[in-house]
Amino acid sequence: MNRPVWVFLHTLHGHPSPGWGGLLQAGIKAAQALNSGLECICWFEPSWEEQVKLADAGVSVIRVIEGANPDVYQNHLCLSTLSKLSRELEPELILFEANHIGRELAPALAAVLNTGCSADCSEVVITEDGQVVLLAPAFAGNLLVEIITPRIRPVVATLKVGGPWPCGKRGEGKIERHPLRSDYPGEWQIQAIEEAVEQQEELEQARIIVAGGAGVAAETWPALKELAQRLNAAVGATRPAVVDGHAEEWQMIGQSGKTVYPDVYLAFGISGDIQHMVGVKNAGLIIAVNRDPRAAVFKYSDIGIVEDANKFIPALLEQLKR
Amino acid sequence: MQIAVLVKPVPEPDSWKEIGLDRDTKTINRTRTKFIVNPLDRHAVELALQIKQSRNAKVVAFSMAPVEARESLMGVLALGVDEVYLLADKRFKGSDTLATSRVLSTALKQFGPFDLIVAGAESMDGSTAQVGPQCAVFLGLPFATFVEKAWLEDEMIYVTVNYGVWRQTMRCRLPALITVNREINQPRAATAMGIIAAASKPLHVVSADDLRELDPAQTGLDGSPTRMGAFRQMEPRSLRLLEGSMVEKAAELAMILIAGPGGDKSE
Repeated sequence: MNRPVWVFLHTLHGHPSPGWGGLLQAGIKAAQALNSGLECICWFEPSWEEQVKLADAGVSVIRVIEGANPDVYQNHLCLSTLSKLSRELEPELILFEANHIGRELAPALAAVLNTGCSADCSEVVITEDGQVVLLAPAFAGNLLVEIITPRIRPVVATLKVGGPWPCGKRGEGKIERHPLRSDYPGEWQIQAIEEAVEQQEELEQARIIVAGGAGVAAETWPALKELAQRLNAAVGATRPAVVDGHAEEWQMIGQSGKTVYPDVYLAFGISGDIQHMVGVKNAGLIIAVNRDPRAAVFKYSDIGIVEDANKFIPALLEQLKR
Repeated sequence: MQIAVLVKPVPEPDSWKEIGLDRDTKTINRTRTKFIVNPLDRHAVELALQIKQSRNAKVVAFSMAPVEARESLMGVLALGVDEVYLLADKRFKGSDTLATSRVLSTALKQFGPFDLIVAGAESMDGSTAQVGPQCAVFLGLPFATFVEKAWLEDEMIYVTVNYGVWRQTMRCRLPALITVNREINQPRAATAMGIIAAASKPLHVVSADDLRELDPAQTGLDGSPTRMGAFRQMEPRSLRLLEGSMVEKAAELAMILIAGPGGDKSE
């Protein structure tokens, strides 16, 4: 058996993270291509149902950290434990979610292990000769670049991927327990915890997303929201729309925002910069409405409509009301 | 008290189109670009300066960049930073985040020690957010990233971090390294007096040879565990443009949306 692929699963204040599906998906794909096993490091005590689900996702070994507190995040504990385990068990690849926790831990772990770390990758590709290649954004998300780590193992990366849990992969799901460690210098003592009120998961779980960009005028946003409501869709936005105050930061989709995977993505007045489009590349059907027929968005769409979004949205609403 | 700020000169967004790629090394050729201080790093400078005002502190900025970035660093001296170390050497070229962190942390050790190290959470161009935590690891310091609130009480640093669904306030004993996001403060602008004062403040240009503990094999392209390969475009989709008047197009799209996904693909 070749060296295993690891995914790190840290809960969000005790709750499973919406990013685990995509992470496990990328993990099992890489493990299969490397002819090795997928293992997960659980910073929580998985329930019986969760163990079954992880096994079904293809996980061969569920490594549970005993005594880990799932409600809070303390990087010195994660870092101490992960670096010890990695040195002992020598994985080929360690994958983290590209969320706050993963983006902090992955580079720190790479520094402890003296290896490379690729940030915010959209895909893990295994070449025919078994080389791990990560696709990462370059030039502020305007291009994708292949990153390899030729000499050192493990390869460490954060993944910006979404998607449902893999299933039917029949991993063994064997539980192995490991002690919590705390030898990294310094200790963060938790002083206070406060629930944040952001609607975090709405976009990640939406089946339909209606999104607006710079081409949607301030007075059209209410109609766009009405359209979303009528379609039972979530509202997303590009960075310019967020900067202009038409949408909230958590609604931003793309390299610097969220990665989504709806069945239908409706892009209104969106120019189609790569940094936005990488966030929707896993959408089922992409429909773009833009008055500029040369807009890049059409290149990445399945259905295109060359119209001014500000006129088209009311016309579409009219049709849907019939 | 000694505070270090990590400052990254980044190419001005308007000049991004002119950034060249070195075909052989696949590294970015930044020498012809105009530099500005990475916007989040200005928040880091501001935090250091606010602490300086409330405690008797010295603020020293560290930057690894080509010598051409010198001008942009005069700007942080004008804001009130006391001293700048510009780590510039052709041998640093091609460094990935790990090799960059190696150089920066070696300099921080040599010209330190520091009670607090502050950096912007991520850079505008690379956006990897890696150099802060990696420097902390090389220095063996506790760290927190994307901090939205930070204050000192005696020998402790308190930070508040927003993890999305929850916010955590925590503390640890100094020395520590933190990276900050834009919620932390409002950066000040330089004053005329500040600009005049900057001219007489020390800006040291430091080469690889000046860093005693630096192993040159651990910097630059050779010292970088990662390599950039081919650039890829995103895969295009096969577009079907709807035809007809706006009302006809709206009607057709309404049909597609009512039919649901998959309804269109069967065509």
